[in-house]
Amino acid sequence: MDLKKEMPDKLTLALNGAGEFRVLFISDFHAPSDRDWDERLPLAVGALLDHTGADLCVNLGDFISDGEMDSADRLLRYVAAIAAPCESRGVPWCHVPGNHDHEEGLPTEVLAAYPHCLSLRGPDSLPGYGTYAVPVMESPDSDVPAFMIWLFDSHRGTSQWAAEYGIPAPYDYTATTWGFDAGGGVYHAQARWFWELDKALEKKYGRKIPGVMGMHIPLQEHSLIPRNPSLTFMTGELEESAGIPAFNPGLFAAAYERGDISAIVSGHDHINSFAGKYMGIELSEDASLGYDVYGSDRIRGGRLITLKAADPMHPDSVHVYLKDCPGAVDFIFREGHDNA
Amino acid sequence: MPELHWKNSDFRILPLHTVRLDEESAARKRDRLSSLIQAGEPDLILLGGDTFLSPVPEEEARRLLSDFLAPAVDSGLPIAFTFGEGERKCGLSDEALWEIFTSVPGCLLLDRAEGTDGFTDGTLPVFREEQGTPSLILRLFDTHTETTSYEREYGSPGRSRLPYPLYTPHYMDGVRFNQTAWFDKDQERIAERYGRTIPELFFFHTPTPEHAQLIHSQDRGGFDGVIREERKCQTVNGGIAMAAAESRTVLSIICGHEEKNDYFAEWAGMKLGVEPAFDHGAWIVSVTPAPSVQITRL
Repeated sequence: MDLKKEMPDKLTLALNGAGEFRVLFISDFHAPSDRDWDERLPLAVGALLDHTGADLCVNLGDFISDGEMDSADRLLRYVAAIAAPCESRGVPWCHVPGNHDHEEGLPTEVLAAYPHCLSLRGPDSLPGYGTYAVPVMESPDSDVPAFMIWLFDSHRGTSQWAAEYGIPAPYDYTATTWGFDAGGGVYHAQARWFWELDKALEKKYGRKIPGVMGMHIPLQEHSLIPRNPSLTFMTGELEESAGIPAFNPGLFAAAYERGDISAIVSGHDHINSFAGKYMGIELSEDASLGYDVYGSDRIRGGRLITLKAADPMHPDSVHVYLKDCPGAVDFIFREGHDNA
Repeated sequence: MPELHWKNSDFRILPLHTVRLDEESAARKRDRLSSLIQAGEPDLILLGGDTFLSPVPEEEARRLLSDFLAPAVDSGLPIAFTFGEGERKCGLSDEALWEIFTSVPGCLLLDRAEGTDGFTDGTLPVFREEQGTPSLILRLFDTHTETTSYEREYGSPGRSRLPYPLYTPHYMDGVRFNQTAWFDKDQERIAERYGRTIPELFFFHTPTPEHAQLIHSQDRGGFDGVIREERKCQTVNGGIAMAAAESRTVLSIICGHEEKNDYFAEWAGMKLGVEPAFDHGAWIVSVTPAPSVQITRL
């Protein structure tokens, strides 16, 4: 196990003096390929960072709608623009790819070159190019993690999964009546990676390390929240059906059986900001922050999870609406933009 | 380690699900087993869970099982078994039942898994001729009872029972993730030991959600069988079907539990099947040298 490929060591993340750590999950920028992105995007990221005081910003993917820009110049300017809010504020950040992203269109290294970017490609043994874990240490000079933030590449589609493993058709029987799509999903090999590494960390540190998970495509279990809003104590908005995968890697069961995961956040669905609890784990979607794709100014924002050493399995979790961020209305409704 | 020998062109397994032995039906079920053995000419009898369901005293369970399996014992057939939820409702401990099952002549001892939640998780290698490498691995899993027991063991009691679940409203337990992780590691260990992957067949009682999802596609090519009742699969997907698909070593996953449903179909390079209860049907699962799996209704 090469931990340098599995956990970034570029910067040390640590609990603050109050024993807390704030993680902001955002996603779905969907920049166009042949023209520049909406100028409000970096402003929106900055407003959320300022309002939440995030200690880490995790981008859950779909950076470019068509996977790649029409020129290297446009790509580099785009990356600089979306990196700027975190870099200028000194906020560490990282990402996972979404189903619209291509490795060749936006290599991890391009983002990871920024001083505050912790993104990793992940272990060579895993499929994809963005499965890794970010440790949050007990204090800046501690080498003991207080929390782990588990991040998963959720790939691009069921047919990609089949092709990578040489799996013959039919493999898509799971297309049923409640909103499955073929956007991808976490593979079983990645669920197994979490299981093994989480157990190895427990062995190394003599206790389970509590954590949260993030990925672009939601798990099948995410769809249980809006299907059962009362019993899952659902909050937030559901404006489209949860775009869950056609397959189930067992990652939710792995998290449940390990007993150290308190929340699983996904992107992908642009106008959903719901959160709810299933079997003790909060499942949420963070809505799109992008302006170059369908979205909603009513919902646009990100999920803020505040990890607390005093109560590690019960973090505070809230969808932060961009419209509630100070100064945001000044640019959200800037003249010349057709708001959703 | 127990050994099964592949003597004929195909290796033929007679899986028996939901036999539900009791005094009243014992003689009839023994006669039916005798007929199935004659018709199916199996190389192995595999009890796939719910062999017992109603409360039964230990000595009666021993006698009922011995009488039922007499046709198999008389034919010199090896016998394997795994537990379903019924074995946890008959009033006997797992250990007592294990002793009762393994006391039957010809009953094979599993190479049992270590560190999993399943009492009857284990493997049975099948050897052809005198080769030292198995040609086939039969992997059995324990699917426990209902999600209430899963939640009791892992926390959040009662929270799995949502009125609008993902798959079915029956809240069944099944192959849990830690059992899937055992398969992940064990098939790698087997490949390392023998220098190549070995084809596998899975048998367990409660179907996976992927089995249940086949029902949505009855009109597709490759679906064979009938759906006569509501599906009753595992509630919290432990990932075993996707793990099996990614391993590319598993030929088939055969389950039971559903009373009258009787179907199988191809999914991700495997044959997923739900065999009906003993009183409603029985299959011969044949593994060809290719290897491939053929299912024949008796």
